[in-house]
Amino acid sequence: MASQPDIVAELYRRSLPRLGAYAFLLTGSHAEAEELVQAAIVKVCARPRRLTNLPQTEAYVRAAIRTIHLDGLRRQSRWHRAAPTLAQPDAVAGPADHVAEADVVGVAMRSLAPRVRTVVAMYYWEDLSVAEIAGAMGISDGTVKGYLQDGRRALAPLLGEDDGRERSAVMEVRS
Amino acid sequence: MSGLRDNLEDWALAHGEQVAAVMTTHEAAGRRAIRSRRRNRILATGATAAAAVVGVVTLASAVPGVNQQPAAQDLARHLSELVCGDPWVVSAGNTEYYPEADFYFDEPRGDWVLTDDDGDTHTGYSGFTAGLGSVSWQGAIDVRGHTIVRARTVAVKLGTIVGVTEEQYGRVRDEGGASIYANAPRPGACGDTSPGNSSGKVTYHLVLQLTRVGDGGGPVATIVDPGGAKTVDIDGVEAYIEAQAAPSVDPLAPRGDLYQAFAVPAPTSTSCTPFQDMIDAGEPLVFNHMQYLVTIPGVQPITGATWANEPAAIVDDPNYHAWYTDLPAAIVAEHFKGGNPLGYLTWTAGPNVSGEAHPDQLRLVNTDEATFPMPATADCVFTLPLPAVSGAVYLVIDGVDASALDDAYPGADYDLTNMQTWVYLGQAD
Repeated sequence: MASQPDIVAELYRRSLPRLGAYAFLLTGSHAEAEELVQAAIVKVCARPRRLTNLPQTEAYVRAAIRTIHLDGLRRQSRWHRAAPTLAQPDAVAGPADHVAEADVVGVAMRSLAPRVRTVVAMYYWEDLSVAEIAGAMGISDGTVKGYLQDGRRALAPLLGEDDGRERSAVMEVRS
Repeated sequence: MSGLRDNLEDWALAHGEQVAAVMTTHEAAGRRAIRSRRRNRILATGATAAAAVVGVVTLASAVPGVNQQPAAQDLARHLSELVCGDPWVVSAGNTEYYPEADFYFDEPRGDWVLTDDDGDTHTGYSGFTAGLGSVSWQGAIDVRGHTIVRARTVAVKLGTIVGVTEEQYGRVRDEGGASIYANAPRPGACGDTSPGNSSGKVTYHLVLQLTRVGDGGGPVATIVDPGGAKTVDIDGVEAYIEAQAAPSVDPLAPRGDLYQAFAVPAPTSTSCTPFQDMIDAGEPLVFNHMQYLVTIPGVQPITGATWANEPAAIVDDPNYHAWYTDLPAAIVAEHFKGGNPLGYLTWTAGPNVSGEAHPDQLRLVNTDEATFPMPATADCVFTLPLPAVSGAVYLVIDGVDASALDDAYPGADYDLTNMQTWVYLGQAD
């Protein structure tokens, strides 16, 4: 059984592209993705839990990436609510982010509202269902579906139509 | 044929590879942070030992080959170890750990800038009120070499760190410089802990770290307080923290026929429940919207029956007219179960949805003709039981009272296009 320090090394050696991809989908920024992945790794590996294999640890880190990101969105929302005129500019984009802007998909992703981008990432990368995303974000299923529609509308012309592998239908039924 | 999902994954993975290429240099810093977090966790759970131990910073041993220039000590080599409650023992200056022929940096140029609540910036200031201003270090650095620039700011009170920010990043490719915009923390911005949540004088310090990409991730230089630290007198910290922690501020309770109203942009979401989604998101946000008072006579207790044939308001004058009586209206409740969450209402002396008319009164009631302009939605199917409602109830009017807004915000430049009015009617019975 691999000891925890070995798991950390394995994470940095083998899991970073996947974790980085997810964080990039969520944030739309290389610099923020790096920060997010690093924070998630530290959060998961600093806890006194037994991490026995790479897939399990990577799953923990992926979940931590999601929760840290969602916490950030909520904090941002609270901040805007408390003092909307004092909103600070986002972190200064690095050169890599400017490179990303030359990528048309990157431009489309960055044009999405943070919550829309988050829903797209959770749905397409983590394969979470609409209900799971709604639960995690504290919003209704209908809002998640609306965000997904917004995301598809922006991305489909560049990446192709959704191939229909959704996990739930788009009809809202209330009872 | 690949679809959106596959292509998005491929595209994201390509960026993930780029993120990973840089992040391989983070492993050492990550391990240090993990050790530090574990140590703090142990200290935090050891109540009897905590009083004696908290506040001591454990430093790694000096790195061989360090070219220690005038000041910055090793503490600053570990940005992640700058934590609240520890003493600030770092002095201003530069430390270059691994001098290399192709690596060069020049002293950063910049200043501590106060941004006030109008968005104006100031450099000559001695204090501000929390929530009505914020401080950041804004400047630039010339760096040669493929380098990551990390910045962290701390607030220090009486020699102890009472606020820290997360690391903030910039990146330099081979030649050129990086701009630096590092927000400064308020006192008490300490993650899980909250020492120093009080007004008074604090000193802001900036720590910059330059890390070469591809050399194993260790910092090659640390720069502390270029241009000097900044001491400011901050007041209102306690009130600001209290306001920030509050999830929302309740609207004013109705006073007689007077109701608090908010001018809110019409929803654009294609959701089946756009108003309910806005409520779920905390709308109408008291701080976010223009507010004014609306007089609505005869408002009735709001129950689920208001969504059917019970009137929301009754005026004993069939000719009563106000700015809102010709506009579409709808009613929404904070908590809703069953049926269509949006009740369509109209002012009429004619029949309601059950065919019951009151020619001697003007009533705000659901009718067969009542509609409300809404964004196009996907197929939405609602069953029709009498709903159960609770919590805050709002009357949404498709328009605003421009003259009342002019009175409330004289001289304000605002756009009323697609604005609606949310009138807080109180709590559902």
